[in-house]
Amino acid sequence: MDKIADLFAAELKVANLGSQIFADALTSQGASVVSIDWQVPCRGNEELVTILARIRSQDVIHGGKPVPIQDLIEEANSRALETLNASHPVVVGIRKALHVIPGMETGLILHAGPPVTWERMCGPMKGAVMGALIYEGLAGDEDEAARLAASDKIRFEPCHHHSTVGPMAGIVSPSMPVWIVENKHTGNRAYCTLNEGLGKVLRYGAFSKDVIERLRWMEKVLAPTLAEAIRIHGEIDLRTLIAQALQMGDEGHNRNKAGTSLFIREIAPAIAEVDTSASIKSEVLKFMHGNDHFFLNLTMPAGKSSLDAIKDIRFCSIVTAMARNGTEFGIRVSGLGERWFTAPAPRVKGLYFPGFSDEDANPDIGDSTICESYGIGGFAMAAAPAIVEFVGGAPQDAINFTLRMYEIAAGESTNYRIPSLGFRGTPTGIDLIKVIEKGIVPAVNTGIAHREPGIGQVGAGLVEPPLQCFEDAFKALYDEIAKEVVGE
Amino acid sequence: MKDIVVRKSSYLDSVSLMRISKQAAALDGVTNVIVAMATDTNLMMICEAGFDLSSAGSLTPSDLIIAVDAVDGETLKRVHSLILREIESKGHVEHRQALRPQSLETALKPYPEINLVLISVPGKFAAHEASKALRHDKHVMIFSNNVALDDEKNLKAIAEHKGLLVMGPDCGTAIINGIGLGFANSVPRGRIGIVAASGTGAQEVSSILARLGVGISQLIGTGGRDLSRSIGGVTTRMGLDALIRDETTDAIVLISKLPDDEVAGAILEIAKRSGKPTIIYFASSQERRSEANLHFTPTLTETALKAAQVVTGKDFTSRLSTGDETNEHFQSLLEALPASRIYLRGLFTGGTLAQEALFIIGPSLGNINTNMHLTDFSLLKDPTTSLDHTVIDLGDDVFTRGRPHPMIDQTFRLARLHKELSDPQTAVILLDVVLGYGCNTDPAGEIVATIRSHLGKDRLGEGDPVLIASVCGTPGDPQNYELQKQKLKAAGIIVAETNAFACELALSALMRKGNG
Repeated sequence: MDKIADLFAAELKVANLGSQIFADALTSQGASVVSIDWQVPCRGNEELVTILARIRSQDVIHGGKPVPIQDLIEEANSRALETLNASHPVVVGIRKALHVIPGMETGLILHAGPPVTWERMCGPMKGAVMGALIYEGLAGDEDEAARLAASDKIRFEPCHHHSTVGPMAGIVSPSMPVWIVENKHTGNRAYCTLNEGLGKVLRYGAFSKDVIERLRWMEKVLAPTLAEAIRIHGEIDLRTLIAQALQMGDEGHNRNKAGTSLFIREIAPAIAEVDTSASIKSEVLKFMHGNDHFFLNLTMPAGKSSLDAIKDIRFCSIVTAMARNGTEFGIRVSGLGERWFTAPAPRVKGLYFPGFSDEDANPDIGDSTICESYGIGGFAMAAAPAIVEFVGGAPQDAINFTLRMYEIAAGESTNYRIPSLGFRGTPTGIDLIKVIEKGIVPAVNTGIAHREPGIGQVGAGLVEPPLQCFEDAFKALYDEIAKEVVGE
Repeated sequence: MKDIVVRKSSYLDSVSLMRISKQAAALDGVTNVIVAMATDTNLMMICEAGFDLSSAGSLTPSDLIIAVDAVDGETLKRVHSLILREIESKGHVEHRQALRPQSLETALKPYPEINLVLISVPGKFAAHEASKALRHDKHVMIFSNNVALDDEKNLKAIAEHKGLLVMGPDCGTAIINGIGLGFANSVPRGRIGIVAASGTGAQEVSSILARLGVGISQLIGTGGRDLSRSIGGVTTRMGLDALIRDETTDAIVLISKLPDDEVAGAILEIAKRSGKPTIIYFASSQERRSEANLHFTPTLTETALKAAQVVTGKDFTSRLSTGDETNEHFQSLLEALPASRIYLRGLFTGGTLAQEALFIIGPSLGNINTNMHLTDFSLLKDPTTSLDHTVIDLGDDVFTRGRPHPMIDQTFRLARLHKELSDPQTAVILLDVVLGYGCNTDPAGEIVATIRSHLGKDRLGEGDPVLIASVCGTPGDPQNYELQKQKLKAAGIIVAETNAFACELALSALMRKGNG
């Protein structure tokens, strides 16, 4: 094998890194050139550049002998990516949170994002907590609920600590029915409440009488009917539904029209068989039909059950969760296990429903960024031309949005493909090291909550996660790995 | 002033409507704007905002409602025309560029057929990018300078192990499969292969060959340090091996500034064993001799002539000449040169051309000051100021840190030219004008403009210093070789066919001056 002779015999194809003059010169000679938009690593941050250089040059003792850090990371990441792609989330049922969510107990309220105390909670999250306490019958009104929430009778923990994810405020209380999603590849399960619809809803902090009544209807009517339908139907393959939805114009976070439609099509025959009145069946079908985001609460636990399968892999630099509690944005990284790295929650750059503006917006909130961590949502923007207004207005903008995420992805999905990119797999698995090296943060699509409790969703848009928490995690990951560095 | 307009059956997606509302709300004098489909939720909200829907008639969710609250009728009109324009512009999307990949890994996914990576990022980042390219089994050319010696050593060790070419760091020129990389002239394909540790040396030889109608098979750059003791000539050896094996290459040209003796010896041994005619230019050596298949030549011009002769069997010497030596203008300039003008000032953009000048002129003229580290010449303490006879390489790190190479950006040279023209002791200014892909698009034009602005006239005349230039280029170059020469000549600059001839002219001018 003579690689130089092969070069002389081949058609020259050049990748140009650096001066555009040389790329242009190649083009003017009729040569084939890929012009790379090279950027200074780590946005020029010398401290990070130094750590990056160490990751690339140092060895650690592993299995009794020195091994390059870079090899260990690459090996761990490719193993994690393999697991992520092999993950196979299916819906297996609906049950009361208290009965299925690990560690769920009376007096425990789960919330979105990294840990937060009652005092530091934002308006919508407080509203949702008060609504949940009223719904549970633990408080009669707002004041009573607020006093109870502030007392030591109620404990708060992140959904993420209980194999659960929740959109927006993400409040889960013991009586709420939850989807049970199982990752058939690894056997672990994830949980998520049922989506209540748009407008005044608990997840956006609303807790008026109609909100509580809807939650009760969901518990007493919707959940049992769907649970029975799932029993009749058998498990529902979410991986297939999400894959199809992405080819029908959804990206799986901010657009769930196709996924919701597909889900209804899948479950409707089984609903027809449920032993209940025709009017209840009709109510259930209408409820799902009336809510374009019904499917979001299934893509989220699909992502959670898949990402939980790769948490805590030594040397792995893939982000396993991004989540916000409305006060802070937090991430977790596989090689750092359960630790959270947080920074103040950013504001969403968005478009608003009629009558609302930036002034009404709460900072970024919710566990729904599990979608982006999973390789859909903002990462699959190119699949969703119908919502390109969020990213600039032209279909090419949406494509560019996704192309940019390939820069920081550990790999590509073998399940979720984008028609407009020649059915290329979505960028999958956020590689913390690439985020730092390229200074590109994950693109996130999201809804916008009103900053006051009780009002609900006021818009939707894009959020730029704070680079700070990625930088902190990056330093911590190196410190973790460097414990056994050779020669220091 | 509140106003409601209904457009029947005109569905628009809610995201577009949100964007349109946002734009309209930003206009002066607008209190509130709601552009929305007439769903129950939206209708309720419009009522809550204080609009009267009673005149709107019966509505369905496929009707579009435009509700505006503005200070006056004029503003209302403006709002409506904006909204209308926005609604109707839907579907006309301007053409956007696809995002370029931001890293080599990202580029290689969709383009796995990439076989060479050209790197010109700042030096301290270049080695990492090169090692990534090697890891992906790609050949590399590193144009960047300021790359650590250890990095070069490591990269070349990996490359040798994998059988890949690493051209550089500090490799200005290569031509692979007829395609110029970095600074390269338009040269026809032919049967001479070049391995060069010097960019402008390679450009000078390949472009002289092209002007003689002789082509090249490949031009492999190695980077200026390749033949040093610490690097050991890895790339030169690999390139030489490849050209020895290459059936389309009949003769090989080997170019280097100042090779380490031992390394050069080993390389020459390989060349000798191959039996392929090899023409060698080592800048420090003034030898002209042949030994079996090895031919040593003292100038780049002779290197090209010898190579052309070897592959064609024809002697091209008469096709090249010093050119303007007998030119009337040159003679009159010399005669009119004031007695106070006694010094040479060489301002080069090409390092090897500058060295060639030193070795041609130095032995006859005596001491020359320079910013290049050469044992036979005095090192200038301050490279920004000439002292007596001076030859400057403007491609030196001092002049290029944080800026483009002078073959792209002549700013420093033009400023220096200005300075030398102002010096009453300047007798001869020697210039190289390097053309080709990647180079400045009009170097001659810029030089001429500087002279014009300095002298306040279009043409050098009696009493001015004598300017002598050579143009390193070919008729196929993007700058237009003939036009570049004409521009120089029109300004009264003496144009020689090659750098070596320009140096000889300069020397003759200075010697005549000395003798007269």
